[in-house]
Amino acid sequence: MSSRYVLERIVQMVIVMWIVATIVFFVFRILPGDQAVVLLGQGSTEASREALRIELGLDQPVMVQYVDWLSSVVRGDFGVAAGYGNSPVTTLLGGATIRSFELASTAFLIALVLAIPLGVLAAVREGSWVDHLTRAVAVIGFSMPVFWLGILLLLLFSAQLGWFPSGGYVSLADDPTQHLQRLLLPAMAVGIVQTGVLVRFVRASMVEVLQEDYIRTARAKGILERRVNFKHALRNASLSFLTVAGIQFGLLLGGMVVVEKVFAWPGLGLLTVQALGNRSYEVVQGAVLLSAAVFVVVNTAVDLLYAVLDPRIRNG
Amino acid sequence: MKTTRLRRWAVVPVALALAMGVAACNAAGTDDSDDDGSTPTTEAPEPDPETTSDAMATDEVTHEPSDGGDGEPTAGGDLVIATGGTATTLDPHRYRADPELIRLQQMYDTLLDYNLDDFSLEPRLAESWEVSDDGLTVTLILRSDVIFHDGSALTAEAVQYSIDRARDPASDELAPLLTSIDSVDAVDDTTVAVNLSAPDRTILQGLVKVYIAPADSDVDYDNAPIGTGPFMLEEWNRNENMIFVRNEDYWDEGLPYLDSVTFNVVPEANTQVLQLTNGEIDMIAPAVSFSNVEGLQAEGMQLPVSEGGVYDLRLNTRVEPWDDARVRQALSLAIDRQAIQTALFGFTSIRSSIVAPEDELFNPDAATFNESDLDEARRLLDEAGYGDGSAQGSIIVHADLGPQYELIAQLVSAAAAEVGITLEIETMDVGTWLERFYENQDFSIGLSAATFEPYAYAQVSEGWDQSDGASMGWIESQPDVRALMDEAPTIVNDDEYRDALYEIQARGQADQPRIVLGGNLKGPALQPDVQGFTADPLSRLFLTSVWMQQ
Repeated sequence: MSSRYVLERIVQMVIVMWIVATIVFFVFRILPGDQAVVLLGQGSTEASREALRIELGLDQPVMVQYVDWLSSVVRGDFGVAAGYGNSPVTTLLGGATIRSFELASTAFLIALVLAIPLGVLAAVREGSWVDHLTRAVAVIGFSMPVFWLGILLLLLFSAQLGWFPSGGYVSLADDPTQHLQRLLLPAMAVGIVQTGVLVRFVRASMVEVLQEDYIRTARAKGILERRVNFKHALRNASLSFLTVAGIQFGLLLGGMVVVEKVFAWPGLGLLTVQALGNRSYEVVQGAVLLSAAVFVVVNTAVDLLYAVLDPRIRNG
Repeated sequence: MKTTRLRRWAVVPVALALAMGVAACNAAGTDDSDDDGSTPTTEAPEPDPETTSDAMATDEVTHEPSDGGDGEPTAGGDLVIATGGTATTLDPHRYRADPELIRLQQMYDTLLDYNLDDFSLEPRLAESWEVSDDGLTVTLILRSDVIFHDGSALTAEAVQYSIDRARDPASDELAPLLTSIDSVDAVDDTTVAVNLSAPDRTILQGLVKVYIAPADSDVDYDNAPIGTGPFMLEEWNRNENMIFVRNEDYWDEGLPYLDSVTFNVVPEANTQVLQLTNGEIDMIAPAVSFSNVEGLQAEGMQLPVSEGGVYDLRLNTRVEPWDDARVRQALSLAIDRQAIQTALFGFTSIRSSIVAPEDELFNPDAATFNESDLDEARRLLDEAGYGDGSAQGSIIVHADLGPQYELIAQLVSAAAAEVGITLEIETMDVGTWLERFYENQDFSIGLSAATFEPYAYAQVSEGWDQSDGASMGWIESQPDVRALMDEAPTIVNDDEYRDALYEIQARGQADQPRIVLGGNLKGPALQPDVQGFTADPLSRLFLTSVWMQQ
């Protein structure tokens, strides 16, 4: 892979992050209401509001605030969270991100394990009842709101069957079994929805690849059908699938708010929502920026992986 | 290559959408502020109707301890509570919201507190107190057997320090209640003198809010707070849980009963309910959503409620047609408070007075609007020149408060239409609401809920004066009421004091700048085996006497 290709990707990544950071910053500056009043309440005195404005740097011109903020962010310093005992924002975000990442990865794994075999099967048996059924199930899958599916899973597995606790979080170090029990239901909720999304892509790319000349050639050479499907077709189909999967995973990480709220899973989404409630904008800015960063990094990684899989890209 | 590049830049709108989405969440609301945003509370909306109807036959709005208490209290047990809001600090004087208050309260004590049966004051850390004849000095005698969680003894200096810290302007919630204090002296180890610049009828009620911390400015309130309360902070995992354990050296002999209290952050109301009915937790606090009440009752859960203030409309009396008292009266008369009670499943009481009818200083002769009277409403409108249906305005509602607010707004709007008043409903986020209501005064009617302290002066003052009053513009147009309001707390003579409060009530109730729609009933949900709990109208959570049935 040419270093130029890698460099290009990274420069693009940095520019995107800068644009996102700028947007995030200004979005919070145009929210209605005086932040000091919202934070301190209507009964607060003008003196304490003024003190808070100075503390938050709100007395400075917006451009000065922007440059200050951006230069700290570049150094990895998101400031301290006033609403969280002045803990550094990075510490708060770090723990939450790990938990979100764990949940998203597990969900994604569930989705891949279900979607790839189902998608391949549907493509190989195109037009059969298996295909129709898979497509129907996929549509149902991605049409279900995670919120609703989460509640449904809770009602079934927790309230009715009593197999799982209904949400909450226990750290892996404290009790691994409890930790996994609490991880599984939210991961299933997200995973099932993701399966619906991914299975269609797997099927579509497989159907396309299966019509290629080299597949016909492979079959003509008498190679086993299973080997044709998995070795020749799936590997090629995985190229376009990988792109979609990358975007999906990025979106997934940023979109955990709902499932984390339903299952009381203290990840990045939940932290963001609560920080908004506490008017801890430093945390919210950091969290949004971090979600965007993860999204961009995952996509850049996919790009690079893409090049590894497809020689035409790295050389072209 | 081209496609990849396009896709790469497509990240920008996605990220933008993300940022916007988060910003919009701000509007959609996670934090439910009660009152007007000055005291955000995380309240799952309110409790329900029919089902609880006997528990809440309006005036016996259960300050009863949760009954069924079979047998003697037994020590032991771990109470696990699910609550929607996170605490950001355990600073006893600089907290911001109810989620903090319900936690703080487990580890701090106050000098005195309300008796929840009749709201008289009873001793806590102060075993007695005395107000001098001229009303200028409050002398408090402290218990001598109290020690802080770090082992140091409670001293008069700690009390002096705590009161001084609480009345510092940086303590936004508390300072306004303590403005009459001129100085605080530690007379000896167990005697504290609070010197006032003028007599203040409400100073003891102000002191009810002051938690006592050690006289040490180095205490890290955000991370390692120290109090004298029944429980001690054991562990605090931000955004997850907070664990308190029993204070073995608690001054109130034999209390608390519980070994530990855990607050779990569970933001989703439906999940809280599942956890409770599954037996994974013991309590949902500070309040359950009124829409969940029926289900919880079917599962045999206890639902003690108390009347924590009112739902109300605040009318902008600077703009037409609301500058005319007759139009305001007509609107109040048009409203069917019974219908609101039914719609909220009984989780509101029929009430139209700012002062609670049970209060000893409630003026029974002041106007009430409990019964709707459409004919009289139409007559008043006619008289005011709006008989042609030209009276119109809009109700501003902020979505953060809970689902019942929009419902109430619709009922009010429908009732107003009956008599020819057109009211639109505008729903918005809390920031916009505050800006329109307070800063720009760009509204005709604001719908909100107010939490009142349990004494008449706080109710009339919150109701018709202070920041709310300023926004309604009413009290400015009534110089004599303004004067009475300022003078009342300094009146030492009981009869004169009562007369002043009666007069303020008579004027405010007659003029209806603030239309009370009903008492706001709310409370937590508890497992049947949790005993000894009493709901508190101030949204605090008393767990000292709570015990688990074995």
